Amino acid sequence: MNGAFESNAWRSMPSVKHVQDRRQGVDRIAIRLRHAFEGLRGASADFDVAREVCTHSEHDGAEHDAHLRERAASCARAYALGQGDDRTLIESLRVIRELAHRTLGLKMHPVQVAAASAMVRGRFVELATGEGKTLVATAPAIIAAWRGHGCHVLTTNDYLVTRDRDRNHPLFDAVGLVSACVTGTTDRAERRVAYQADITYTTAKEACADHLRDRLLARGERSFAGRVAHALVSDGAEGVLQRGLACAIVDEADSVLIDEATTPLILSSVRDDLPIGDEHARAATVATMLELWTHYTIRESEQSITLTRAGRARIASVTSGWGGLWTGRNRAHELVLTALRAAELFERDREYLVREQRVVIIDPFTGRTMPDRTWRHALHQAVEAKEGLEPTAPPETTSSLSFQRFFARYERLCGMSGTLREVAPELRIVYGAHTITLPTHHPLQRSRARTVLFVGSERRWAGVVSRIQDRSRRGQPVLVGTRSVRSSERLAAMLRAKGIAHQVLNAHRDDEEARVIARAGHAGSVTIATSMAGRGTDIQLDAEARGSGGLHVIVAEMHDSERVDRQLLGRAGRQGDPGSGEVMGSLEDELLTRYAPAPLRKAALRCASERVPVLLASTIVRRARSRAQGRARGQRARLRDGDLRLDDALAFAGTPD
Amino acid sequence: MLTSLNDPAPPRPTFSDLWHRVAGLRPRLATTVRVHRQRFRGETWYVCEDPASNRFFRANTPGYRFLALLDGHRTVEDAWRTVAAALGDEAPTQGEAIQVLNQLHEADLLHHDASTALEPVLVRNRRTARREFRSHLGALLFIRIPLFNPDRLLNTLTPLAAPFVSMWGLVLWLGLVIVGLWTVVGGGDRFFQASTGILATENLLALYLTIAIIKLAHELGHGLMLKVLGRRVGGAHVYRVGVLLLLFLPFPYVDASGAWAFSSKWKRALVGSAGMLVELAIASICAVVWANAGEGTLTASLAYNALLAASVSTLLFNANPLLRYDGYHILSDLLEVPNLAARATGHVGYLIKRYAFGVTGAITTAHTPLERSLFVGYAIASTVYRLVIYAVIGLFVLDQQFALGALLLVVAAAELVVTPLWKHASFLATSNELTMRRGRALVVASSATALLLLFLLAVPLPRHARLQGVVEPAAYQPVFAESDGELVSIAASGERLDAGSPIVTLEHDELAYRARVLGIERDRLSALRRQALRDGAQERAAVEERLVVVIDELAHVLGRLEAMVITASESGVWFGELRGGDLGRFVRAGDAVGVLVTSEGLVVRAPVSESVSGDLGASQRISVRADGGGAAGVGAAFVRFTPTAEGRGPDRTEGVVAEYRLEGAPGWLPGQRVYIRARVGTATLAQRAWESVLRVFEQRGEG
Repeated sequence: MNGAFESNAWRSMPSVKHVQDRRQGVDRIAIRLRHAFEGLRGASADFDVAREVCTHSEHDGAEHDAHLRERAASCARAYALGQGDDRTLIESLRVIRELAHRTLGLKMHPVQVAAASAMVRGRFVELATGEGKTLVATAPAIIAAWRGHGCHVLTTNDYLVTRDRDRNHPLFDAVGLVSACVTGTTDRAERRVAYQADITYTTAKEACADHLRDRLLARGERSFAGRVAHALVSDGAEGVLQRGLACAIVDEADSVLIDEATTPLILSSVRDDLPIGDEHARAATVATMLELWTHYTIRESEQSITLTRAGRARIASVTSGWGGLWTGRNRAHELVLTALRAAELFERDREYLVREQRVVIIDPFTGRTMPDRTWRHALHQAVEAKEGLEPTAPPETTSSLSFQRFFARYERLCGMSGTLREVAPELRIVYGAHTITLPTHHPLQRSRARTVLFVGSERRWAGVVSRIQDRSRRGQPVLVGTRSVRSSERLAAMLRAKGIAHQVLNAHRDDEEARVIARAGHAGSVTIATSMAGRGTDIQLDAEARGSGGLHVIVAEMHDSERVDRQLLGRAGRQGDPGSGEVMGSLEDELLTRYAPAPLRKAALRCASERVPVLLASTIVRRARSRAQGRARGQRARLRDGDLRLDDALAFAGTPD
Repeated sequence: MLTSLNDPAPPRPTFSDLWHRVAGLRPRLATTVRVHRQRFRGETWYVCEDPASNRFFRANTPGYRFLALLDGHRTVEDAWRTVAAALGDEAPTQGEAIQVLNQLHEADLLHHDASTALEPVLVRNRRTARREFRSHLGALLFIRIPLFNPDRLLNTLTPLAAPFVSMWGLVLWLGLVIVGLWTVVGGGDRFFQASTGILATENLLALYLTIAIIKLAHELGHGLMLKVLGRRVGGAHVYRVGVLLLLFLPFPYVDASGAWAFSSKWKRALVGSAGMLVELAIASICAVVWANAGEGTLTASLAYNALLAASVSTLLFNANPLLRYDGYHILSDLLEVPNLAARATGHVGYLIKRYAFGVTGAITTAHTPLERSLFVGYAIASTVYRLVIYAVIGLFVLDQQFALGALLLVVAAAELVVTPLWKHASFLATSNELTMRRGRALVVASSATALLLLFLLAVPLPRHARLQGVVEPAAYQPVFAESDGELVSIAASGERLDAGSPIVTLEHDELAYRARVLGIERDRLSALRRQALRDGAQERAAVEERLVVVIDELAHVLGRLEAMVITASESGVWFGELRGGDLGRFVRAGDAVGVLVTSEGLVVRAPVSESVSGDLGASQRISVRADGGGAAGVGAAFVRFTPTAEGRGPDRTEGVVAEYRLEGAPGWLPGQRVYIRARVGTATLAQRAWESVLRVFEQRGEG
């Protein structure tokens, strides 16, 4: 290698290595069979590696620091030369394990080593919640960094980015690697430095956006050579930030790669020549003049609204003579439909909240606010009009990239999460990677009660309150998960009325997050949270709480995605701690009104008692879950297909962003 | 292409997420592109044609207004805004504009400044190539090898062809076809009987050459028609002549897609049908030649080959819109339903997805109620027709050229049955469209399959035997001439005769003369004997001996003379083999003169092969229909089997003759040919198919 030629900037240029193939028919079936076969082979090779690594545990433990570092350096050389075989892998894992023990005070147990080995081989790994994923990720990150060209460790939010990097950097220092993190607040110069580090912790959103910005810089260049030249000569704060997409290790892979991936990342600039805000206010007034079922219909399960003939006629009569955008029938219907969607399908404190006179979207999966995100297709403006806020100017897209396309650009991709098995087929189809599920190291100390299904929502809340009283009286800390901000506030009000001390964590109060989480593990404390408290949250129990049975998690209101509920339940019983969890749903929950098979739901509604019989309840929940999951999967598949098809169709417009 | 918009309006979102990718481009139509205006279903369309690459794109008026604004200086964004401001709802949406640009790009009709992303283009090309290869492999029908540019050749031929494209040409053509038709129909069965030898191995080469020459004429027809019609609109071009491999046999083809530049659909139809017009004219000429050449001569067999090739291929394939040949393209153009077959299939697919599988998001390809019914009808008719035509042709060829027929059947089965089944199965298994409904779709599809299989394998259907028979009287006496003689009188056919009344009278001059001579001799000898009685015994013995001989001979001659008048032995109805017109004809002893029908009833006798005779004995519901005489059948009842004269059945195997008694009085005459349809028990369709396969092999074993 030419040492003087350090810039790797050309690597950020298009490598359309993994063009996703829309395989059809026989090919698709054959691929599925092959993957199924690979899946059967499972993780046995990784356990062999783990066994080998752990047998030398004592020998490594006795090794001198300097000698260990030397061994690390020789592993690094081997990987840099592209000689990373199985022996090197075992040797590297031994060194990393021992160094992690010395620097972080944590020793990877065999399951973690197996997980690390699987990830080095490009697998996605499901590791039970609370098995120490943060530590596992260090090994593949180090090995990837040794290979050169850097490594991105991606996770869902800025909090986790800083936390994980701060926890692990002593280990990286010990093996002589530079680590850095990029969050939303990192400025451009710092970013450039951070991306030059061997290991960069950041969120998927930041990595993707920076990648897009880099590509925008070179967009003026029409030819490939021009773009490469541009990337090479640009430097300083104005130059490209990243040095290519060599390797990504994705924490919370299902959230990042599946849930988030339905919304493409869009870079936009605000344009002011479209005075469209008033029109949305007018559309909102038109929407109030229409009646459900006479003028428009809603399909609950598909979240779609259609205008009836009468509705179209009404719009025509109301808007006649308005001129402008309202002259065209098509445009008028579009505007009104958007207003109707905003009014009917988007609820304040569920899909969004209003903060400082602005509409802020709440992520349905993580319960967190997404302040810099807006809905597309003028929906955002329609919601603003509905809330009577000053409309923001509709942004104009300058560049967009879907996440699956972005991740496919990494040369190496692997990931981990506590909840992967539901999405394993999609990971295979989209990223061509296998998923393996590893057992827990500590026997699970978490007991899970049967799902309780109440007939009415009111009864459920009452049931939840009495359960909270019951558990917290025993000294157990209780975490109640609700689906929306609104219901969390509601439950809080009920507890206040009963005089039960509690704390609330939701999108409205996200500034208190760290404090709330820190207190959530205290004996007898009651915490109400949206799914914000799920993924990545580590609730530390105090001694008293551990003694009285650990954290008790109640999932009130089931989420469409079972993974979200599993993540919440996974807050209990971490790393060998005791814990318990249960689901207390009602037939009026959104999941069941939308997806439960109608005859079953009717039968359950006729129940004399306030609780649906156990067998019926579990059937209803199971069927609703599988339907919801199927629909979500279908939607994602359609989005992906559409994405690829449109990209084909845009071949004439040059390479994709 | 922009689709026309009818109610209920499909959603047309004005904005597209991808707009930013094209907004800044400054494309324009390629400089070589020529634009033609066309009226199509009451709308004006603009056909962009690149004569250099012979590729086309059709845009509607709003789409074209958008295109027309793209001059290489304006951005796409500007052009779109201008059109949107001017046309409102009519204007193409952003998505539609992108689609227009993309299709133009794919047709190489667009120049623009961006560097194209090559990867998707290459991937698409590869995919297209693979798909085409597969479909060729499956069909073995459409491997085209372009050879040369025939434009100049056609230009020199055009003046020769031009006079025929006129009213006089039409009259001439009609005359030819009428004469040809007359010849074939007038020839009756001869036309069909001659077809048995058509695929004889020694005829195959000749047949192929004939077909190749006829196809050349056919293709020249297209090319010349295009040229002649094109002269009036400033020139049309034919750029490609090549070879089409059909079952690996090369046939010529001409690329006449230049016809798309004609604004009149009738002109396009004329170009499309020119090939068939030529073929039918050739067939007519050959029919006349064949009918007038001596049977068995080389000329006759060549003419017959040509006649059959030109007429059958035209009527069953080319002109038939149910198959995708000339007739189909003409029909779809004239109906102004582009892409008829694909959209018909699409619409049926939509119906199944929507109503059988319950996929709510399915989109139909039909835009009007008329199209909806047209598509359903067309999809069903063309599928059935294709299955039937391939099966019939396959079986016909199988009968004559076993290996070729088997190959044809296998290919047809692969194309028409296996491939679609596989496609449907993989659609069911993997389609994203079915994500929420896969369970229901699988249940519906598998139960439909199960029902079909049940129907094929387990539902017995009445089986009918079809026999060809001859009407005969229930009881009759054949009448033969008992002696030689000249016919002098004969009873009229159909005349009722009493016992003893004469039927036929013959005369034999020589015999009558001989009788007179013998009578004279007898008289003379009698006189001599009387004289000898007086004279002495010795003379007498000699005379008497001679007299006995003469009397004897006389008696014999008289007997023969008497037999010259044949009388009816019983009363009955006379049907003469000889008619009044035969008077004066010389009849030999033992010649059949006719039959005397002694009973009123008629029976039908039909030769059958022994293999089916068993079932026929117990057959019920027999109906008999006269050859070419109406649909109404006459009831009949089985009487008995009698052995045949040659001991052979109709299909060259052992056989007997089945006799049926007619139960009505249809007024048929003995000797008339009839068809018998007898129900012989029941059989499932699978059973029958299996039996017909067995029969083919049996016949091969024996024949």
